[in-house]
Amino acid sequence: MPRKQVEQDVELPAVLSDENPNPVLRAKKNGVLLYANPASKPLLEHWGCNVNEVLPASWKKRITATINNLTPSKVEEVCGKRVFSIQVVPCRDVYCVYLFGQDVTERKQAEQALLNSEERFRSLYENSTVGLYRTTPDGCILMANPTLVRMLGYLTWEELKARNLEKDGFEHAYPRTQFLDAIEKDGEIYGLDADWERRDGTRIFVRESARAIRDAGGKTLFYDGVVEDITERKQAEKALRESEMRFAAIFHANPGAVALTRVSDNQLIDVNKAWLEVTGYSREEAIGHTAFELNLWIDAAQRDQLIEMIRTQGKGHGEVQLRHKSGEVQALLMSAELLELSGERYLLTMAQDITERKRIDLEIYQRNQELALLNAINSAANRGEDLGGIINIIANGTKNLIPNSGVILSLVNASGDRLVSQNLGLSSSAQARIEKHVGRPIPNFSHDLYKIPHYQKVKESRKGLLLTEKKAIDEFFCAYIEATSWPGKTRQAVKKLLPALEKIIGLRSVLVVPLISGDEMIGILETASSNVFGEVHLHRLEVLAAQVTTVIQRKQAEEALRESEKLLRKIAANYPNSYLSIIEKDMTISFSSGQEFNKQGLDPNKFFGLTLEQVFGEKAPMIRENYRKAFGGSEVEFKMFFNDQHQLYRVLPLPDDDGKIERILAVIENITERKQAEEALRVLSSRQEALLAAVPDIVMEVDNRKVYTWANPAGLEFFGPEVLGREAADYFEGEQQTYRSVKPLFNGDENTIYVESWQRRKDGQKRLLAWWCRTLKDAQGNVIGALSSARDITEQRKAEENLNRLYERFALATQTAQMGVWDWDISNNILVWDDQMYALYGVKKEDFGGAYESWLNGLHPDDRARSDELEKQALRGEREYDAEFRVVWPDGSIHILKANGHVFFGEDGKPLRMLGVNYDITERKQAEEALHNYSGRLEEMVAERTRELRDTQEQLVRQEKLAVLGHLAGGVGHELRNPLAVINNAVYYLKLIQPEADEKVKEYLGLIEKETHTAEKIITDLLDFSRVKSVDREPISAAELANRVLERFPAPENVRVQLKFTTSLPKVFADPRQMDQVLGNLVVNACQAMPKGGTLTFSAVKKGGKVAIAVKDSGEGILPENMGKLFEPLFTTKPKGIGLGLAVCKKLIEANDGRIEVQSEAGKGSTFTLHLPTCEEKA
Amino acid sequence: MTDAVAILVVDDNPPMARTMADILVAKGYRVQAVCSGREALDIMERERVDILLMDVIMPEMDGVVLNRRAKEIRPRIFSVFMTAYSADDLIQQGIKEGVSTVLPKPVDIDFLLSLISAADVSYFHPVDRRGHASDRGNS
Repeated sequence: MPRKQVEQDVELPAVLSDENPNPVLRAKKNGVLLYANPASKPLLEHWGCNVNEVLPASWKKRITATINNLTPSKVEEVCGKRVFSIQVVPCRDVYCVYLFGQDVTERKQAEQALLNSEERFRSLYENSTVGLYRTTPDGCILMANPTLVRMLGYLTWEELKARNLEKDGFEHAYPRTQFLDAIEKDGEIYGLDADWERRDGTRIFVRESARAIRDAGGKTLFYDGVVEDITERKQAEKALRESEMRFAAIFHANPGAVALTRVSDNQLIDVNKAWLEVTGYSREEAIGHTAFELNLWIDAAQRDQLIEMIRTQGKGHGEVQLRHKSGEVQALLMSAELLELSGERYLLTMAQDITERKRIDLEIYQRNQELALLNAINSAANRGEDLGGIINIIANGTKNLIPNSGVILSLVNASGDRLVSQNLGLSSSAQARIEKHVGRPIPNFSHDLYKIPHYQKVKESRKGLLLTEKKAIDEFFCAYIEATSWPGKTRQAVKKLLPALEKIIGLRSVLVVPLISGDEMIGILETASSNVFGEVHLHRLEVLAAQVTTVIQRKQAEEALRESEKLLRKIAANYPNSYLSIIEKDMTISFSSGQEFNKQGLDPNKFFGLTLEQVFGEKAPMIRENYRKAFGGSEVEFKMFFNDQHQLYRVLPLPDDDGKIERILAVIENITERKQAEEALRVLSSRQEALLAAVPDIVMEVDNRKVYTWANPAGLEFFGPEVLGREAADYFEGEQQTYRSVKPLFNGDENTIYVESWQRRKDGQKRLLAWWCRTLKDAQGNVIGALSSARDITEQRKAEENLNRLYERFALATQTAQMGVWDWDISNNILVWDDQMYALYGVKKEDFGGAYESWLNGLHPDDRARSDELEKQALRGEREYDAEFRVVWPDGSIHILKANGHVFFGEDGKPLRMLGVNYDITERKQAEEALHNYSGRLEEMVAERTRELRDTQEQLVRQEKLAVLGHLAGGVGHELRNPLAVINNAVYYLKLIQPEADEKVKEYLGLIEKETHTAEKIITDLLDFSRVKSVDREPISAAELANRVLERFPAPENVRVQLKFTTSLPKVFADPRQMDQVLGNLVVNACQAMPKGGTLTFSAVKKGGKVAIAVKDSGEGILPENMGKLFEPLFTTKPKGIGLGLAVCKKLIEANDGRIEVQSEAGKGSTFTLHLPTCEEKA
Repeated sequence: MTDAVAILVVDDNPPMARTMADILVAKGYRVQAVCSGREALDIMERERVDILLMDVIMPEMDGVVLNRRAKEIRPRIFSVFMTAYSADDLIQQGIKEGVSTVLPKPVDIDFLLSLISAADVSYFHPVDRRGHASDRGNS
């Protein structure tokens, strides 16, 4: 019964059909899908798998597990939007599983929806931001969500649950009875605001909505409520109210002027009291109007700037000016920002009156200016500024102090009756305007003091004069113009301007202040201005005048000094190669002169008043230090390199009459040239020094006591820096004759003395120094010491010693190796041999010519030309010299020498010298010869042996191949037997059920049957050959074997059988069945070899400890060329047969420790002999 | 036919099992053929089997094991190995465990038939046969 049918009948229930609306699948253990009904389509698409393909890995694993455990399992598989529940059921017998699927998508969705809604509710309940509760009319709390629990300040729900509303109560403002009444009446309460007590006693404000849940009979079961914590909202409302109150307080109580303006229409919405004071308006006048209407702004630009700041920065801040209702200008510091109130934008401005502060600021500013001006005047005077310069400073400085058009300083003569000098104090713009009106330039002018009554008045009163009345000013200017030194025309032209003077230069006041020195007036300071001056300004100018007076006095005194200085300067100016300076105690230069200034193109006056720092920069501290000594009373001298000059400073104190030193004189000589000369000298000596430093040799100097007094860097490096001052012997290593050797030097010997000495290096190492020492003498020729140079020759000495040792070793080597060394001076043709060479050539030293030819003549005549050529090649540099030649000794004996040599070439490439060795290789040559002869023969032997080996090897390979082939054939044979068995059965069956069949059918069935048997025979042979059969050996007699074989394979009738067995033959020890097979084979072969009949002889004899069983035929015999191949597998001479018979025989015999042989004679037949071990032999 | 000798052919090669069964059916035996040892044992659990013709080398359960199990169900079962191989060890083991004989494939059917008829006579119905023979002789 076919297997498939069996499975289906047994395993396939009706439900497993293609009609099943649910997926049904079957898969093998290895995951291959065997069957899938149409309903499985979504699954297959999901898996991307078809019948006969492997399921996804997870399923494969699950299937394997199911089969292994034989336990059904259930899985859910999501295919896109569908969900399948799949039952995996193992089938025990067929090693596969069934998958029963069911689409559970809808169920799943329903489950999920339910889950979601539950989840939503739960989430709402637990995460709701409002409190949820359920209570009973009698006050029990049935339920409260976590939010409510938290809201009321309880830690857990259980804690809250323990409370009873009736007993404990929560409400404060709204009693429970009221709640109950309301809810019982309406069934629900909505938006009830209440304040509740929390667990810790604090209160929260809540908004509560509740509903009564009643049963069918209308009885209230419980209340469900929602509670919202509105505490924060309540607090926010409260905060807002408070904030509003605070704002109002700030607004109105603010000392600053505060205004609130609506941005949309610029109307003032509210202003405070301060604002009303600042502006001068009443509340009624201000509110509802704009700043423009009130004309508050003086400068619209200030307002715009403020608005711009608010726009960009959100806040504005700045100084503004506002107009008071009275028209008075108010300076205010205003800050403004935008507010948004109920969606409307407002500008909140706060202003502070800074008018008073401004005034004070100005005052402070002017005071500062005044001080600055006084300072400037003083320092200008100290700087040596002349009066004109000082007046300019005053003119400019006072402008910040007194708004003026210029300051005029006039000086009077000593008697005070004439003006002696005057600056042009008018401001340039004022002068330009006057000149424009006059129509000509106004020249410098001077006044006649007497002609100006005002000046007279000032002189007498010694007080300043302030003119502010127009008339007084005009009078003043009239007198002023009259008194000027202008030409008449100019004076007239200017005078005409007088009535318009106020317009032209805007003069509204004039100040005239006397300069008083002691009792004398020495000058006048005057100024005019377009501003109206007051007493304050007059006072200021008076203060200024006092300062100016001091300066003028000083200046005049300086003037007097200047004369005497001139002479001094003249002398100083010609001081050669020097700068002369006088330095004051404050270290400023008060005088400079000297030729060197001119040489260098410097203006000595420019140094006046400069400090040392200004002149000398970073060198100043050193200069200062020296100058200070001079101020201490000593004369100081020092050198310095400055401004590319070498300078010699000689500093002298200049005591005044009292002996106090207020200033010093520095004479600074340029000594550069002298320095350069010195430098040249120094360079020269330093070159020498450099040389000594640069030489790698150690250079040391000793004095007469042999103490080191000087060392070059190499010397210091060697001995260490502490060598100076120590005696030479301190560094000696071991006993030395050094002192004795150098003794002549100290006696004045001028030769260089060479001495070698072991000395200690600074690292402690012992080094060998080679010294060259010379005596040192002073100018008088006295020996003052010795100068020695030394070189560390430690390594060199070691190298020499090594070389010596090397040479000794070399000599020993050549001697031991009986190697001769030769050395040929090529250009002079002198050939030098060592003793060994003579021995090698069998000549005596005195008989050797010592030239190249002498050597050549000693060679065997046949070898001379070749050796000479090799030598020449070496000389040409073509190759190293390497030769073998024979030498004929004087006694006629021949020796074979080997020679090697190396040519040394000169710079020009010419060979200069050749150095080489000779050694006797006669014995080696003879040995080689002998070896060569022997190896010739050896090669033949090896070749022969190799051939044999190769043959064996080939045979082995062939057998190996055959074994593989046999193994393969055996395997195939086995497999073939199964189909053959079926064919055999089939034929048998057909013959069985059709005994009356057609003759032809019978014939053909017979053919199939016969050929099946032939095929089987071939397979059997193959198997016999390939199978490694176990050998089951036992003692058996040859006769018994022969009988059994002849019984099984009887000879044809035309063949006569002869048996020849020796008596008392021992039994053989062999596997009887295998022997049957072998002998059977031989018998069949023998019979086949005698198709026309003949004699088959079966014999057995004892031979060499074995029994030889022979099967002989009288056939045609075997062709000689086939003899070698007889036992090879697949060799056959028969038309039918695969040629395994004899091969099998051989194999079986050998497996029984036997041997098979064949003998054949053409026309007389063949004999196959088996040599089998006997039992005796075995024993 | 219920007392006819019941033969069960087991061979993992279905044509082999089938041809062998057909021949034996044609010879008048009650024959079933299956392709595995497990199937064979299932049948033997259900009904009587006298002769078990089985292949030796089969997947999952070889002839030796099958024979062993079969003997557990029916100790007197007459079992025969049919083999294309020289699986010496298995064959030796089978014989040790009571396999009656070993037939090399292709099976010599005449020999097999004679073996079965011999077994029928000598092995299963030694007493009945005598009686039967006399009955037959009588009829």
